[in-house]
Amino acid sequence: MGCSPSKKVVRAKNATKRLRAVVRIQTWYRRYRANLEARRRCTWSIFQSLEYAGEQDQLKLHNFFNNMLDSLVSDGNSPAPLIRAFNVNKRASIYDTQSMRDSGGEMLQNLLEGMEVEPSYKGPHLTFPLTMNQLHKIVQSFRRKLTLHAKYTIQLLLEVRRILKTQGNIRYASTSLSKQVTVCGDIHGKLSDLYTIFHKNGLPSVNNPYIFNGDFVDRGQFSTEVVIVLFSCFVMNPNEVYLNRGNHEDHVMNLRYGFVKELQMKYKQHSRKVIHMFKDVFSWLPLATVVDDQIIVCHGGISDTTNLKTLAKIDRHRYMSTLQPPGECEDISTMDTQDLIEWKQVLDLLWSDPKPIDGCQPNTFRGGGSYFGPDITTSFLQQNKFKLLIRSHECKPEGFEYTHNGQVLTVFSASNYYEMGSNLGAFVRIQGAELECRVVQYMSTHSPTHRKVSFTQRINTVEKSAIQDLKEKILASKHKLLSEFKKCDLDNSGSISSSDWCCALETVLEIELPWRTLKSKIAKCDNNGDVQYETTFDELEVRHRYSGNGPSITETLYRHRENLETIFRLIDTDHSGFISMQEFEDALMLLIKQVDIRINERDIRDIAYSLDINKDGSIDFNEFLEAFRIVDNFGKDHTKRVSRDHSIDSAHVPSIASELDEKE
Amino acid sequence: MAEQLGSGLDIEDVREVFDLFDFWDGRDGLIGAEKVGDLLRCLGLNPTLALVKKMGGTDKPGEKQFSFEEFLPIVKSLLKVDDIGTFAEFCEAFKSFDREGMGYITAGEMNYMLTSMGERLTDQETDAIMQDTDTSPDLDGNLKYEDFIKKVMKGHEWKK
Repeated sequence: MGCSPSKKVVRAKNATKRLRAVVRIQTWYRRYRANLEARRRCTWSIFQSLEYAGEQDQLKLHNFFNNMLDSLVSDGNSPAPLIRAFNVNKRASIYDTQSMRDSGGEMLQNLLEGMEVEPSYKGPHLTFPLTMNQLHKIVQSFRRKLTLHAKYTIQLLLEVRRILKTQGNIRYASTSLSKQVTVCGDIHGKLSDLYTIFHKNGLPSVNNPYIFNGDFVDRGQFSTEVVIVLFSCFVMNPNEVYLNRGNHEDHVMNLRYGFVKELQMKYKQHSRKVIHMFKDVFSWLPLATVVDDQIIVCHGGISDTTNLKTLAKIDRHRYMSTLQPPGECEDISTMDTQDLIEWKQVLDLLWSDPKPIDGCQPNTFRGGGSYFGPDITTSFLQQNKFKLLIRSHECKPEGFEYTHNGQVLTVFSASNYYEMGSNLGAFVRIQGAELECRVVQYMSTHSPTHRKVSFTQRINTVEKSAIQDLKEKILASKHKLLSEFKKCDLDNSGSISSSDWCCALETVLEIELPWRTLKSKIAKCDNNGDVQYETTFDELEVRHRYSGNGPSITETLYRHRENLETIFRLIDTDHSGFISMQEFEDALMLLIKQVDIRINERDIRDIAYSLDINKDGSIDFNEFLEAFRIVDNFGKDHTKRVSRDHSIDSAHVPSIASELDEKE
Repeated sequence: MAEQLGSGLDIEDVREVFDLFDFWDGRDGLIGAEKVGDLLRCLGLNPTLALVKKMGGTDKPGEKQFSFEEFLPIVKSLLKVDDIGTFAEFCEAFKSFDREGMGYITAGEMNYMLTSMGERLTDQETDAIMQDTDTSPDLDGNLKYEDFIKKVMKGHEWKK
């Protein structure tokens, strides 16, 4: 008889039940992960769209400058300094490129005149040629939050400049000696990430060459320190350290995205000279590096017209900012064809992004450079007999990404770029005869007691931060949005359909986002899915410490504060942080002419007057910009603070100083 | 009023999720078939891997693409059969390991179950489940599986 058939059947039935149940759990988990991943990508889209919306303004800014220059010039009453302030590339002619070339930098040496190091200075005293021991001292002093004295900074920059002038627009690296080379992407002032890279991969040396692919500065809090460490490594190993220019090694970008402000704060009365040196040195950075004639490394990408022969012949020094026509050009319409062609070559190399669709289109998202498709990459690589394009410029969640069937590798080295936990950083080691690429990822830790956070918790934190950023942007356009909402609210019920709400947001804010999905995180909805649109603003409003001018004007100024800040910094030619009341009024008037806002002259004068606290005729515009607040009905401050790179303070940061000890 | 499809979903919701994935995929109106499973999951559906394959999903990118019009019928047909399961049904998975019938299994058995049977997960994925549901074994290495299932059923809905 043995095992009765019914027992077998029961056993089989149980096994099936169990299997089905296990699959249910696995299915649940897959759904849970898919939703988490979607939230993560959604959050990512928010950060990236907000970032690029700002940069798109930036390149609209280049049209903006041209228009402003036009209106200033045609106005006839505008002071010449103001006009000169707006043409960044033209200012180069004040320090004549011809005479600089001939005198080997002697004119710039004059910057050092009268600059003595006070006895109270506690940082390192540099002598050239720079040694490893001095780099050690520099790093130690940075850990103690000291700034390298302006005199030594300028001397370092002069030395960097001297060497860069001997290097071509395109550099050629070989792995014949070292058998490998490491490529790093955007660093954006994240000093802890630079230290992490050196800790994991060693310092640059003859046997350990590096290519740094641009965007060393802006956005992060330690741009100065990052670029000084990089430049120090460069002067010690000029043939093993390759520095490619990024779109942020650019004076106009630095005015807007924080580097100039940081220099101003750290160098104080010497900042004008330091800022001028950086502006000059950045324009001398090479544009691309080729490894073993097989791999090309450049910051942005390419376009269908990218031509290395043309690029090699350009006088790259004419571009203090790639956002403006080079050198002596007054106005785009009078530019000669050759200049236009060359300018486009440079813009494309530094600003382009790869896209999955074939073809080449102007990069409207960014406002400069091109979108290039897989076919463009294939033909470019074939034409030049390359096998790979390595570029940076775009933040990636994993710190790197292959696209175009493995022909393009994006590498981004600033971890936690948008927010703690938002993304990993990465670098690429190219090694062996086959030039194999091995990617190494990392994330800077937040504090010594950093505990392992679950994936969900990390997503929650980053999402919250993104939504907060988005809400700020929404708040800045409250009046416009409310009027759009009200147009759709025909029965005055306070609610409008989802589609109407989404449409209004997309139209007014001009950013593409999955609004329907984000709806519930931003506003309250009725049971039937309609949106109670006033809750979009959550009872928050923008206020300014000195405003008596009414919410509408405050909101308008807040919305355009980045443009305003850029204009202020341009006008502030001595980089003191102060401009005259008249200049402040001029700046606001200029903004009004370019952008569609209504503020009358009387209000502007009132604002200027209220800001001139000392009644000495000058305005601290940094204070003006920092005085914006987001408050609720009870006056509680909800302003989001800029996230600081706290990891520098952490004892857990790999000690580069000890790394240096080992090498000595 | 947008066309209602069932389970509180309307056609605009489907379009939204489709557009979301398309947004990340080049905005060309097409989504790779390897994403079909995740698309459905983001709509709140619970298809098994087998069912996704049956509906036209693939494992690797580059094989097939779906337009919105091709994707919508898949959603409609799956809505009819979708079912996350009941508390009792989830418990079935654990019962055979629960020799003493006290409601406990070991963490190792849980891991084994999920990584070697059915539509297998990886070790990392089972670790993540434990971490994200805040489930940890007691001093004897045992897990109270009912608590775990309750957390699963409470769900981490992303639209909420």
